[in-house]
Amino acid sequence: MTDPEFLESIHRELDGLNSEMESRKLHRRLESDAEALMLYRELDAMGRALSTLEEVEPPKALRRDVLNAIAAFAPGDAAGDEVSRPHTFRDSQSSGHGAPVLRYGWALAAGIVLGLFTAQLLPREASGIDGISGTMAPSSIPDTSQGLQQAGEWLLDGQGVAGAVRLAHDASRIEVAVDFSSPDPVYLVLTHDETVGVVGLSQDGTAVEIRESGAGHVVLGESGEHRYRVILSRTVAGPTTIDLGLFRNDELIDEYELYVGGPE
Amino acid sequence: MTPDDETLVRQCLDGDLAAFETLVERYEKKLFNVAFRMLNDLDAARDVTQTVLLKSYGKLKSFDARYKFYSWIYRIAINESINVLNERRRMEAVDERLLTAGMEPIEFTTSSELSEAIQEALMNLKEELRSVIILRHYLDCSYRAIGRVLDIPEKTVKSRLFSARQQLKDALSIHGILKT
Repeated sequence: MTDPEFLESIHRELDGLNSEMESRKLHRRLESDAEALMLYRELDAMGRALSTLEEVEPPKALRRDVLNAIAAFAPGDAAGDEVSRPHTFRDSQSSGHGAPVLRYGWALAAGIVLGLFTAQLLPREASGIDGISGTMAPSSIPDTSQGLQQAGEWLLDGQGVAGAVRLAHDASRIEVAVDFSSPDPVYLVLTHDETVGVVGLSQDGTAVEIRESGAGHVVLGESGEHRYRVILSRTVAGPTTIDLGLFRNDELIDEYELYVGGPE
Repeated sequence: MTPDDETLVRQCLDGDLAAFETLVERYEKKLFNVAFRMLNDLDAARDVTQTVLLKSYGKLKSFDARYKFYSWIYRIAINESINVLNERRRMEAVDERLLTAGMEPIEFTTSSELSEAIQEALMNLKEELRSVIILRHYLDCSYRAIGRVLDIPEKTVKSRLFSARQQLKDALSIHGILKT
C-alpha cells in the first residue's frame, strides 16, 4: 500500500475523477489486495460519514445586519469602502471546544457592556480596564446626521466635565454624539441590548478603530475638547435603551439612560 | 435567470446594493457552515461570516475578475477562521487532555451525536488539513479550485487531502463510526 499512484487512484475514485478504464483497473487490483480493499472501503465510509454532517442554518438576523451595515455606511456608493462588522461578542465569549454557548452569536446578554476604544487614547494600563482584545477596522462614518430624527439632548455639567449628549435615529441607524470638554481623560461606556449593535465610531470627525474588552467594557476618552460619534445599527425595528456611563479614573461621574423609540 | 457572480460583482461596483444582497443570499449559508466546521463555534461562525461579507464588499474593487468570486470569498472565510483560531490559541492554553478525551469507542444513537463526533474528529485535524476536507467534502470544490482558494499547488492539495482523509478515517475508526 505504499504505491503513491495506486493510492491516488483510490482517492480519485472516491472523488469520482477516474475514467471508466481507470476505475475498472482499480477495482481489478482491489479484488486481489485485501489491505487496499479495506482502505478503500474505510475511506468510502468516511466520505459517507462526512456527507451526513448536518448543515447549520445561519441566524436569520445575520443577512439583515450585514446589509444594514453596508447601507448605513455606503448609502448610494459603489462598493469599495471598508465597512466594519457589527459588534458582537466573539472575542469576549469564547466557547472553546464545547457546544456553543449562545444560540445566536449576535445575541448579546442584556447588561453586558459593549465597548469602543480609540487607539489614540491613554495607555491601556492607565485606563484601569483590562484585557481589551477585540479589534475592528476603522469604519467610515456618515458625514452628517441628515435624515435622522433627533430624539433628545442632555447637557453634561459636573465634576469638570462639560458638554452634551445628543441622540438621533431612523429606521436602521442610531447615533449617539457626545461633545465634551474635560481636563482629564474621560471614558464612555456603552451598554445595549441585542436589538442594536455598534458599527462605527469617530473621534473628532475621523473614523477610528473599535475595540472591546474581555470584560465587555468599552472605552473612549481623552482630555481636552472632543466629539465622539457612535453609530449603532438596529437589528430589530423596535424601541431600545442605551446606557451611557462617563468614567474618570474608574469612577462613575455621570450616567444616562437613553431611550430610543422605534422608527416612525 | 439569476445573474452569475461576475455579473453581480460588476453591478455591485456600479453601486447596485441589491446585487450584493443576491451575493449575500448565495453565499451566506455556505460561508457560515465553512466557518462553523473550521471553528466548531456558532457565535464565532456568525462573526466570521459577517466579517467575510463586509470585507468582501469593502474590497470588491480589488477583486481580480480573472478569478472566480467564490474562490476569493472562500479564501477570505478560511483565512478569517484561521485568524480566529490563532487568536483563540493565544488566549487559551491548549489542554492536551481535551485532544485525547473521547477517543474511546462510543455508541452513537442519533445523527446529531454522529455529527458531533465527526466534527470533533475534524477539529483534531490541523487547520491546513481541515480546510481541504471542508472545501472538498462540504463545498464540493475540485482539486484545482481548492488550490486556488488556499493558494497552493494542486499537488499539495492532493497530498493534504489524502493525509486528512487518512487521519480522519483513523479517528472515526477509533470511534467505531466507520461501517464498511
